[in-house]
Amino acid sequence: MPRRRRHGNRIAPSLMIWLVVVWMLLWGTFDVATAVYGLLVALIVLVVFPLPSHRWNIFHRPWRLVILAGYVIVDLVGSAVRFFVDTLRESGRVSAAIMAVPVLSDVDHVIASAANVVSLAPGTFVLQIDRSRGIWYVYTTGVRTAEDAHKAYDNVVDMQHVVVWAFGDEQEAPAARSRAEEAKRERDRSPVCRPQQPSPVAAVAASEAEFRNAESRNGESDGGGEAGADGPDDVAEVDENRREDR
Amino acid sequence: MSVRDWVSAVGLISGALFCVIGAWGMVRLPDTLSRLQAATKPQTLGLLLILAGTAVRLEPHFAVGLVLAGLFQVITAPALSQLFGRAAYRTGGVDRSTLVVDELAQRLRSGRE
Repeated sequence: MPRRRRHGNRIAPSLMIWLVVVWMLLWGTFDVATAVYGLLVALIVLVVFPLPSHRWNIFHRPWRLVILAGYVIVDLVGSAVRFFVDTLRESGRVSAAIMAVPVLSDVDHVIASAANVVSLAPGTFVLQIDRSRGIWYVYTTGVRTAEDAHKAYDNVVDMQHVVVWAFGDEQEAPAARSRAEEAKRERDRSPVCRPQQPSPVAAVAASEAEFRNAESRNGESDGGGEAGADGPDDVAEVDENRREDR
Repeated sequence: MSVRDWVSAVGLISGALFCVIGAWGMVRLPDTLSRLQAATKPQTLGLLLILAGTAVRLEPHFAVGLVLAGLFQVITAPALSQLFGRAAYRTGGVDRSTLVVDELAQRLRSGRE
């Protein structure tokens, strides 16, 4: 499908500009000579370490970006305080859980960004991304009861919802809310804490299946960009998913 | 004291506090996964606060470099903690007695049958 097709390895102008800006910030001088050298270095970096270029403009919806930033800061401070109070009160005894949470997107860079946002807050991080099945395995501290586990699950889904809403493309951003609701509805909220294996969100699973079909029809022409996961042990490599993450 | 001094003082002291608590967590927590939480995350928040506290005292010309440091911290810390956590999980760096529920282990087990 077009959303997942690789656009070849042409040099993305936006990345180029970004690298030049970083270069100038690093030097702290803003003159023409620095810009020229920055351009040269950016060119070398992009030629030697090519990224799959994508048409992804994060400044497409600046207000959503601001709201996302605010959400991340509030979450960062809130969970930092919660993590410390919890650790101090229990004097170092942790009680944690590794939970399977459905992914709300089927676009690599959105998944990577969302994983980054979830992993930024103390006490929570994405341990494993099972790309092909659309499931994350999230480690969360401070989980003692089933009630805590459900709350942590909702928290991760909510965070993903905001990221998909802010970063997603035209198809995914409007669907973020319904996907989040679907993911929450699917969870078995029994008062007893027991392992669950959620199924991926229907839209994500459909998109994934469509991609697989297109890939098998095209044969090997894609160059094996996606990690193929045949057995459940062979979970898609995270490095693969992070490739588009700057 | 001006507003700027207050912002700077609050940022620097609270940032240092978060770093200290992170270090304390490193010592007290039992296994790699929970130590990772203490090692990478509070330090991120602590560093951001310290950078913010410093930036308000500097000329804008120098402060942009600090923005860059903060940005890269935010981008790289989760990626690193995730890679370490993943490796730790696979090499037995997890204290299973701390886990209330482990859905990844269950999934890996079911795949082997």
